[in-house]
Amino acid sequence: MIKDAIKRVIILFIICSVAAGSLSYVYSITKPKIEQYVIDELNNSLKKVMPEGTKFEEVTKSAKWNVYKGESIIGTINKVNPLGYGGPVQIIYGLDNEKKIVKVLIIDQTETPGLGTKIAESKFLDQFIGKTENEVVLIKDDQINGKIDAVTAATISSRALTNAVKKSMNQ
Amino acid sequence: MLKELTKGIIKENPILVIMLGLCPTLAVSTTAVNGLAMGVAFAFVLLGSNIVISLLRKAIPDQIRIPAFIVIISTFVTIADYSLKAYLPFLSKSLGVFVPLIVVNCIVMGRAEAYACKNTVFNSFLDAIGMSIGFTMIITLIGVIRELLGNGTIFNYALMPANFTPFLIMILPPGGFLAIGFLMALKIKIFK
Repeated sequence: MIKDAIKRVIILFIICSVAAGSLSYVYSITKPKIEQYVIDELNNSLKKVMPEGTKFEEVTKSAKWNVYKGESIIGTINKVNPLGYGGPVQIIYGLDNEKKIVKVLIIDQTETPGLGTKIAESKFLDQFIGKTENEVVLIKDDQINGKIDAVTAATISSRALTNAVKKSMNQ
Repeated sequence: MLKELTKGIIKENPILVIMLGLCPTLAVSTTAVNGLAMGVAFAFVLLGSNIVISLLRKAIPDQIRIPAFIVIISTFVTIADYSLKAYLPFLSKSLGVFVPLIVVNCIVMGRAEAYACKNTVFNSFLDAIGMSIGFTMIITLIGVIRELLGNGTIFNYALMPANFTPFLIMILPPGGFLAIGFLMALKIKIFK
């Protein structure tokens, strides 16, 4: 009886050890590649938001970058992750020195396909270009100052994005 | 022997006949590429686990077979997951959590329990190949149907006329159920 039990323990232990060994081998090979990809992807998005920038200095970890062109600061890039309709929406956007928006880009989102996903299209996002903090409001919510037209049938997604950008513009 | 290989394709197709693994099937089959990638990741895991489990079938005592199977299966799943993340990151992103979830894909566990732990390595290998072909074929087909009707494309190539209005419902969850239901009906009609 006890002998059987010990045998089982040993067999399971061997299986687990072999599994752990092979996994740590695979992990050690793939880890640098995975990390590199994450860094590359972030740098690509930063570059897309402000193509003129030559150096991106991280001020707050994964949230704020100062953008340099040569020696002078030409603006900042912020990253916000508001909750959309189907989960967090990851947004980065650039501000020039006059606090006007240069470009808004969606890195990742899980909104409803065909409806909420339209907030990632340039038709919606291009509306933000050149806007100041006061103007970044849905027309629906503030008819006087608002300059952003929400995507039809995706008001929640549009509002989440707009308000998150507005809130973080002065930080 | 050929039967071991071909049974998984039609007669015992894992999705349409055994009806296992429906959760990932419904969730990732929104596009043909996703379906195909899921099928390939699944095939890798099933091949690996079927071979290793049938190799060890005499060494693993009955009482601990389930934990042993789970460890073996999850090892292959994690290898597949990390490899996808490192070498095909875009695919890994669109498959999301469903690659790690192959661990609990009932087809893999089902084949281990019902086949690999009772049969020779070679037969288990054939069984895994057949099941993988059956799974990949159907999940890709569902992906093709849903992508074509729901987005007007197949493998990202636009196929529908310009004035085609996509049936959004096909890429939303109900579309998965519709596609799978019609395919099951069609299979029964043809292979009765």
